Amino acid sequence: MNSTQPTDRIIGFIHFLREKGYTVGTQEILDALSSLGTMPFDKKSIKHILRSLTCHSVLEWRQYELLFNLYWQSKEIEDGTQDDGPVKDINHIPPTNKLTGFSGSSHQVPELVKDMSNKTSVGAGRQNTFSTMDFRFLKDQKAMMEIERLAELLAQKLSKRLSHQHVIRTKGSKIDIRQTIRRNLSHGGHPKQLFFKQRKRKPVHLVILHDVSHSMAWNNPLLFRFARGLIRAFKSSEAFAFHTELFKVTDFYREPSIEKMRVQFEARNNLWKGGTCIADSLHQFNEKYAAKTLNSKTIFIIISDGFDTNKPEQLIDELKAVKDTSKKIVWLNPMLGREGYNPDKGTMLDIQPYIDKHASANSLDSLKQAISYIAQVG
Amino acid sequence: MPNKFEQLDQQLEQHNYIADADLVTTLSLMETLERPLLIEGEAGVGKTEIAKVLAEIHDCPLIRLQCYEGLDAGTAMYEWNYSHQLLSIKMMEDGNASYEQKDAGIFNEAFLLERPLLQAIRQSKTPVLLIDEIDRADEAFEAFLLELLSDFQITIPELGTMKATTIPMVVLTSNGTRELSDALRRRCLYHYMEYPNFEKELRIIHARLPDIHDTLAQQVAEFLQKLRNYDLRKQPGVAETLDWASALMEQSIETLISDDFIIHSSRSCLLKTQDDVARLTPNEVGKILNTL
Repeated sequence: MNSTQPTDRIIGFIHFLREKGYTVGTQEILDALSSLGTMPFDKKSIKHILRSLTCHSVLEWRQYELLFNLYWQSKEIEDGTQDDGPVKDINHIPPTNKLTGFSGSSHQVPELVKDMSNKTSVGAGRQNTFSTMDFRFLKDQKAMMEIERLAELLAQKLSKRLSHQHVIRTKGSKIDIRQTIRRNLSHGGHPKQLFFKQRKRKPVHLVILHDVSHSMAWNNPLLFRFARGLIRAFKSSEAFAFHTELFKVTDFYREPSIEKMRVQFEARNNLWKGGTCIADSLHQFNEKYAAKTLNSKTIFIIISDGFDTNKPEQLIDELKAVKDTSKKIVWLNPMLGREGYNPDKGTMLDIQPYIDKHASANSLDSLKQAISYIAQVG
Repeated sequence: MPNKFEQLDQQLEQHNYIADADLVTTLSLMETLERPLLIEGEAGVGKTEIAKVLAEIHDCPLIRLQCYEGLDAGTAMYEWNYSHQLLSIKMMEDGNASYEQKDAGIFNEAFLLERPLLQAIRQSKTPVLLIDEIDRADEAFEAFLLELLSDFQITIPELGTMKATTIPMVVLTSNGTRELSDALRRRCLYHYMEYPNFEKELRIIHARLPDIHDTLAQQVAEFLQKLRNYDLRKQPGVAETLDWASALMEQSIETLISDDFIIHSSRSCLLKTQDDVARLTPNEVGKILNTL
């Protein structure tokens, strides 16, 4: 490397990283420059030092090597210290945030879905807009990623909401000594009034059935993250996906890396393809998994638009069987609330008596409301 | 004379910790810049071990905070000694102390119980503070940590702000079971630990099990590299490698062949879930052994 202007080059590289979505502040630049005096001054050390200072996640960590090599190689060619070679255009590397989530995945979105989603675009960071925005109008990649993240966070918040462990009460079995002393100081320290900790609530048991058929394609990146959030937040919960058949996906959702989860899903299952047999899939569930997974405290969540090639009577029979062994059945429908969709006809009308809640799932706000309901009954 | 980087590299090796150059650089930076280090990676790649080795190298105390769901400030930072406070209140009963005097009398350092984080900033000699599996703690707990990680101080409402007497070397580890906040990440240097490659794993085996036969060490390392290519739910880490190698040494085995003991010991030492045991049948293990 050209050692005559190392400071400029390092600052240039950090600016390049910023363009690629890395969050690097002035402090990191100062730290980098001050550290270089204490380490061996070579390209390898610079690479390692800057990686520790500028990367904050595994995705950034993994992309860093490529970015570093591209940047330095191009500069060395400019300096004439390296021969011209097949250098990739450094501006064509996508920002790191485009590499995570289902929205950034390589799956083929059906043309119909593309057409419907091309109507509107929103910028990232506008959370108020996101809350009410219908998922199908999201086109902007960055906005999609943000919504996916928020959907997963939302699901995880349900867990927090249900597991507030130390609510102070004036009745109970476990004394909160700290509060008791504090609040009785005015009585000279006499514990006139005792304060108690609330007993830890038992975790909610969720079973999720997620429709991954063609008609659900545009909703799924977000609803996947939402379902993933729920499964990761509630440890004893189980998840299944279905189109014309059912398969268990709990382990996929528990996978910490979203990228790995996506690869596993795509490798093993035919996502977003083919028709939907909800009743057949539910039948498979009842036959194979219901006895092991359902109990009187289970909240059974079906995420589907309700378009079913099976007969409604068949679905009703299967739902009855589920209802007998679970606490509540919640149907999250991304079509509900959308223009032109009428829930009062067809399959959804027939099954209304057998489900406890038919809720919309087409925006963050609607997911929040669904969460509130689950928190209430859970 | 070796520079700081080379010196640390040698010290790590002397303490049987085989580190890549980038990890040594990061550890040097951590000491130079006095910034916390966040290490992420799969379970069993040696994240926690780094803190232990650093404490040995610097001959300083290792203060460990194991995180879990529901961990609160009272367990991690400080707690008041309630029974002593009650006694003190009783003793003050006969006096004419006002409410304010009683309050000041019982909320002072004499009644303060130090928990790991407070202990870490009040040591006379710089300690290593290991905050293990931070991803298991709640998000609210991360917020408690921010003040400590950026300013090395803890604020106790009744006493005020307590600044660090020495800046601890803070190592946070995470298995990535949930996303950590950007605020926490930005306060830390970052390092991601991958499973070791063949050469590194072989060096680790020799460092940790110096009496192992060369052929066995090579074959164990090669077996593990091949095993990690399988789609397992829980990939075997370095700890599992060493357990298995030790078990084989106990039986005076010098080369890996496809026999019953080796097949069964590999499955019981290296596989950790029922799914993986079902996926990697004895027959499949035998196939890997035959390729060595």
